[in-house]
Amino acid sequence: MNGARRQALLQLGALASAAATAAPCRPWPEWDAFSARFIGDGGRVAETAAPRQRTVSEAQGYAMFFALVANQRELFERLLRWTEDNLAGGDLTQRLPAWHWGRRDDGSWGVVDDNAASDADLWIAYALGQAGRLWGVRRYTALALLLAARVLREETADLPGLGLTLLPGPRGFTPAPGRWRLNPSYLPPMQLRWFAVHLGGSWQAVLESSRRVLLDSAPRGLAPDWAVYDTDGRRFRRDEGNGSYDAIRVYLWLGLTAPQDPARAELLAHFMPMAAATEGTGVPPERVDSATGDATGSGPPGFSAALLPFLQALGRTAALRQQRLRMDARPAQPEAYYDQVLTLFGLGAHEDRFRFDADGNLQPAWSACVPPR
Amino acid sequence: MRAAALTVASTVALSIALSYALEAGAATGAADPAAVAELLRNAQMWRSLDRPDNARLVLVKLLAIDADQPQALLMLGELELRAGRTAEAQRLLARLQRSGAHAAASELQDLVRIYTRDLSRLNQLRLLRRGGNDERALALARELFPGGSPPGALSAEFAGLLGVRPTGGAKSSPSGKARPTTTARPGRAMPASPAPTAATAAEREAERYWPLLREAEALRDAGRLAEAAERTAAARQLQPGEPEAALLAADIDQRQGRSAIAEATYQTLLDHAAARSRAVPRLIALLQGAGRPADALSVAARQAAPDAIDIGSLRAAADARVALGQPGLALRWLEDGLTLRPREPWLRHDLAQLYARLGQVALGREVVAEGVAAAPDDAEMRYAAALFYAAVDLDTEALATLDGVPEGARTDGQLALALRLREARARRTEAAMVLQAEARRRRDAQAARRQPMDEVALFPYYRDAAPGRSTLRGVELPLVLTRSPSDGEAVDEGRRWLHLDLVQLDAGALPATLDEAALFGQVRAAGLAMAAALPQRARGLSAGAGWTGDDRRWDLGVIGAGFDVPNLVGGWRQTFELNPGDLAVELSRRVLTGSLLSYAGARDPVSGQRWGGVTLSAASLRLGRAWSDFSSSVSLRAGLLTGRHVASNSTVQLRLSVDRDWLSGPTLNVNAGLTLALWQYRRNLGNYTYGQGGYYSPQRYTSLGLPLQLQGRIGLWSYQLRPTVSRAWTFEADAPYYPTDAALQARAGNPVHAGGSGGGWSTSLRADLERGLGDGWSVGASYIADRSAYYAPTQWLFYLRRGGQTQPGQVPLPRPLQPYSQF
Repeated sequence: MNGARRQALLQLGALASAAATAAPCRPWPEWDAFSARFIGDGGRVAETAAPRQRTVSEAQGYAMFFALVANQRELFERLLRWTEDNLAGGDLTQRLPAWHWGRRDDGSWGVVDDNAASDADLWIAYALGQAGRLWGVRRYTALALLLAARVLREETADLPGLGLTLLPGPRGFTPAPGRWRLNPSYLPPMQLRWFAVHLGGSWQAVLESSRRVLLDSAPRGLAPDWAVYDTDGRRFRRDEGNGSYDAIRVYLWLGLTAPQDPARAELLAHFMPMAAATEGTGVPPERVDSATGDATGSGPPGFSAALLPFLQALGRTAALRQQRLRMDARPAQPEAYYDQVLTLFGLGAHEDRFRFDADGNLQPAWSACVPPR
Repeated sequence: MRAAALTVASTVALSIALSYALEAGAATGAADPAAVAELLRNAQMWRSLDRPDNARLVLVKLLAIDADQPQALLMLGELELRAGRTAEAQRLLARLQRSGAHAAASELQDLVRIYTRDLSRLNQLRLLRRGGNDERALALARELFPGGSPPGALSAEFAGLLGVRPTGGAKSSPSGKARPTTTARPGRAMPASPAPTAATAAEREAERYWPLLREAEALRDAGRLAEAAERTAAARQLQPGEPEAALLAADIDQRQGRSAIAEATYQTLLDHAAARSRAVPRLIALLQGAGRPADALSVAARQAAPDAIDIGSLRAAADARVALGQPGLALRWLEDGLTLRPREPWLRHDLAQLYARLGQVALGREVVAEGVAAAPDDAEMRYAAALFYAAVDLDTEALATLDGVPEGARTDGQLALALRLREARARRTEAAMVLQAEARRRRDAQAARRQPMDEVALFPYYRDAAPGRSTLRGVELPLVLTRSPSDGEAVDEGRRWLHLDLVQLDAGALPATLDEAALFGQVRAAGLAMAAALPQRARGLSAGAGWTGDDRRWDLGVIGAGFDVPNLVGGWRQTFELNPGDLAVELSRRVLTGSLLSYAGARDPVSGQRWGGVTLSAASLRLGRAWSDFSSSVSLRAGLLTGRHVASNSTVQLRLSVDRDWLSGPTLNVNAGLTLALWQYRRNLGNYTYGQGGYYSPQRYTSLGLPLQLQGRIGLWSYQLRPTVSRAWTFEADAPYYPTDAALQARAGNPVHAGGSGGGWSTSLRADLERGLGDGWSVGASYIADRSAYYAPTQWLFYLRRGGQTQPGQVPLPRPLQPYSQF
C-alpha cells in the first residue's frame, strides 16, 4: 500500500470510528507545558535544572513517544533529528545514541559520555516503530528496525540461567567476572511484547528473560533500581536492593501493559506489596529495600502519578482515588523534569490519552477522535 | 516523466536501427563515417544521462563495425574505469596503443592513472567541489591534471573549476545533471516604458529602472559581471520594491561566487508573489549546487515546487553520503525527495537499494511496488523496479514486473535485463534437470547394484629372477559373489561380497650350490651344501568377506590358509566430501605378495623353521582436490611391517600426483599427469636369508612418473591403457643376513647383503579390455607389466562376470576383478 493511500485509509478509519464515538480530540495541557518548558526549537529535551543542563537519550525517547501520542509530527521529526544529529553522530542507522549530552568540563557542548542506555534506545525504537505504523512513514519503520537490531547486537548478553538478556547499555555493566548489573525498569513488558511479536526470534528470548529478571530481582514484590545477577549461583545478589526513582517505573510499565498480555497477571500479583505499602501510609514510599521489604520516606508527586495505572489494574480503587487526590493537592513542580515525565505517563494513561494493545501496539486517543476544526 | 521515457525509448530504437544499418554496411566493408559519428553522439548522450549501460551497448555495437574507432575505445575505456573494471580498461588501452591512436591512447592512459592510483584524490576533489571549497579543489585539480585539461568526461565535469572550455565534441554533450540555466531573462515581457507626458517622479525613476536593468543584463551576458552588478544595484535603489532587479542581482552574485548573498536575496523574494515562481527554482538549484540537499528539499516542500528538485543531483548527493558511511542521511533525503516526486523511478530505485543495503529488503520491495502501483504504465518505473528485484535475487518478481512493459516498447536495457533473467531461470531449470538426471542415474546404478553379481577369474603371473628366492610364478583362481541388501533397506546401503581365491605359488627350485643356497634361510650359517635343489612351492586358499558402500568400505579375511604362514587381513576405509575436494582415511593390514617368502612364508632347509609371511599394517590419508581442469592428490601412508621370524620394520610413503583430462569424450578419454613418490623403510629386508622378509624395502626411494591413461569404447568393447615412464633414485643399506638372531649372525661371520645407490628408468603398462556378451554376461582381460633393470614382473587376468549390470545404452569401462591378495 502506498503511503498516501495508507494515510487516507487511516484518516478514513479515524473518521469512521470518530463517527461511532464522536469524541472530539482533547487538548493535553500537561504535555504542552512540558514541551514549551523543556523542548528547544532544535528538538532537544533539556533538563534545565540538572547539572550541565544535560540531555539524556531517555528524555528524547520519552518526548518522541509523547509527541506521537499528541499527534505532533513536526515536533516528532525535530526531536528525532536532534537525537540523530547530536547523539548518534548524524546517523541513527549506524550507531546507538549516546546517553548523555551537555556542557562538558571544558565549557563546550556535546556528548559527555558516549555509552548508550538501552531503555532509551528501546523507547526511541518503539516510538519510531509506532510512528511509522500510525503515520505511515517508512523511514521511521526502517530506523526502528535497524535500531532494534543494533540493541540486540550491542546491548544483550546470553546469561546462564536467564538466556538472552537486555543489558542496561553496551559497556560497563559487569562489576566483576560472572556478575551483571541489570535494571528492571529498563524492561517495559508491553514494549518488549511488541518487539517479540513484530521482530520475533531473539526478542522472544529477551521477553522471556525480562519476566525472570522482574520476578527474581524482587523477592518481596518490591523492585530494586539495580540488580546484580550472579551467573555462578544463577541468582540475584541480595546486597544491593534499593528501589526508588528508577524502580518506580517497573510498576508504571506494568500498569500500562494490556490486560490481555499473558505475562501481566503473574507480574501484577507479584508486585502487589507496592500497592499495600502505598495504601498503608497513603503515600508511595520514596525508597524500598527489595531484600527486606522495608519501605521508607514519601515519594514525590510523580510517584503517585506513576502508580495510577498500576493501582487501577489491581482494582485498588480506594488507593487510586487517594493518589489522585494527592496529585491534585500537591501537583508535580513544573520544573521537575522527571516528575513531569512520570505524570505524563501515569496521568496520561489514566485519562485515556493512550493505551497499549495485546501485541504492544500503541493506541493513541487521536486515532479515534475528531480533530478540532 | 512520460515524455522523457518516450524520448529515451525512441532514441534507443534509433540507435538500434542505426547499428543494424551499420552492421549491414560493415558486411560490405564500409563504415559510414556519418553513422559512426551519430553512434558516438548517441553513446555520449547516454553517458551524460548517467546510463552507462546503454552507452556501453551503443559503443560495443560501434566497435563491432569499426574495431579501432579511437573515440569509442576511449569512451568505453572510461566507462569501464568508472565501473571499476580496470583490467578491461587496460585491455582497451592496449588496443588503442596498437591501433596507433596516440592522442586517445594517452588520454585513456591518463584516465587509468586517475581512476586507479589517484582515485582517492579524485573522490576528494569531488567532495571539495560539492562542499563549495573551490580554492582547495583547484589546487588539487592542478595536481591531479598536470596537463591542465582533465581527460575524458572529467573535462566537462571540472570545466567550471578550471575555467577551461570542455574540449572536443565528445565532451560538450548535454548533461542530465546540469543545473537549469540561470539566465535572468524574465518569463514575461518587460513592461513598455510609460509615456513621457505628465511624468511623476516615480514614473521617471521607472523610466530609468528598466533600461538600467537591460543594460545590466547585457553586461552580464558579456561576462562583465562587476559592471553588471553596479547597474543592478543602481536599479534596485531606484525601485527597492520591484523584484526584477533583485532577481538579477542574485543571479550575478551567484556567478561571482557570492552564494550566501544570492541565497539571502532569493529567500527575501520567496515572499514576493511576482518573483517567487522564479526565485524558488533558482534557490533550490543554488542549494543543491552547494551540496545542501536537505535545505533544497525543505524549500521545495514549503514552496510546493517539487519539480525544481534536480533528481540527478539529489541521487548523487545520497550516493556520496552512503559512500561516506552515513546511509541514514541518504535515507532521509531520498524519502523526502520521493515524497515530493513519487513518480521518479530512479529515486525509488536508489531508495529501495538503500533499504536492501541496510538489510531491510521488505521495505525496499514496498518502495518499488508502490511506484509500479502508482504508475503501472510507466516503462521506466517498471524497469527501475525490475532492476531492484534482480539486484536482490527476486528474479520472478523482476520478470513479472518487466512483463508489464509491452514487448515492442522495451528499451535496450529492459530487453537485456529480461534476457538475463530468463537465462538465469533457464540455467536454474537446467541445473535442476541435471540434478534430476543425476538422481535417476544413481537410482539406476543402485538398482543395478542390487542385482546379484558373480565373477570368476584366472590370474596367472610370473617374475623370473633368482630361482628359489625372488622368482615367482603364481596362479590364482578367484571367485567373487556380490549381493545387495534387498527388501526393506535403503537403496544406498551398499553391497556385500565374498571372495574365495585358490592360490598356487612356485618360486622355482633353490639351487643346491652353496653360493646360491647360502642366500637362503640359515644355509650360510650352517655352512653345509644341500644334497639337491629345493623346490619352493605353496598352495592355499584366501577368503574374505566385506562390504562396499558409497563412502565406506571394509573387509576381513585370511590370506593363504594352507601356506607355511597364513595371515589375517582386513581393512576399513572412509571417504569424506570436503567441498572442495575429498579425503579418504584408511586403516588396513595386507600381505606383501612380491615374493613367495613374503606372501606365503618358507621353511628353512637347515632348521626346518618357518619364516616369512609379511604384512603391512598401515594408516593412510588421501586428500584429493580439483583445480580447474586439474585434479591433484596427496597420499600419506605410515605402516608397520611384520612377519613370522622376520625382523620388524616400518615405512612412510608419500605420493603426490597431478593430472588432467586432455581429451574427454564419450568414446575416448585421454588423461596424463605427473606423480612423485617418496618412500622410506627403516630396514632393508629385501633378501631371503632367515629373518629377512623378501620384500623390496629401500631406505630411500624417489620416483618421478609420467602416467598416461587412455580410456575408450569401440562397439561392445571397452578398453583402458595406462603406460607409464618413470625415473627412480634409490638407496638400500647393507642388510645383515640374520637380523633376528645375533648369535646366528655372529656364527656366520657377520655377513651382510650389500646395499648401495641405484635407480634408473623404468616403464610399465597396464591394459584392460572388456566386452559385454548380452544377458548380463561380460568377459575381460588385463595385462600388467613392469620393466626395469632388476624387476620385470608380468601379470595376466582373465575374468567372466554375470549380473551387476550398469545402465543400459552405455558400454561400461573395464572393471577388472581384483583378487583378494591384491587389495
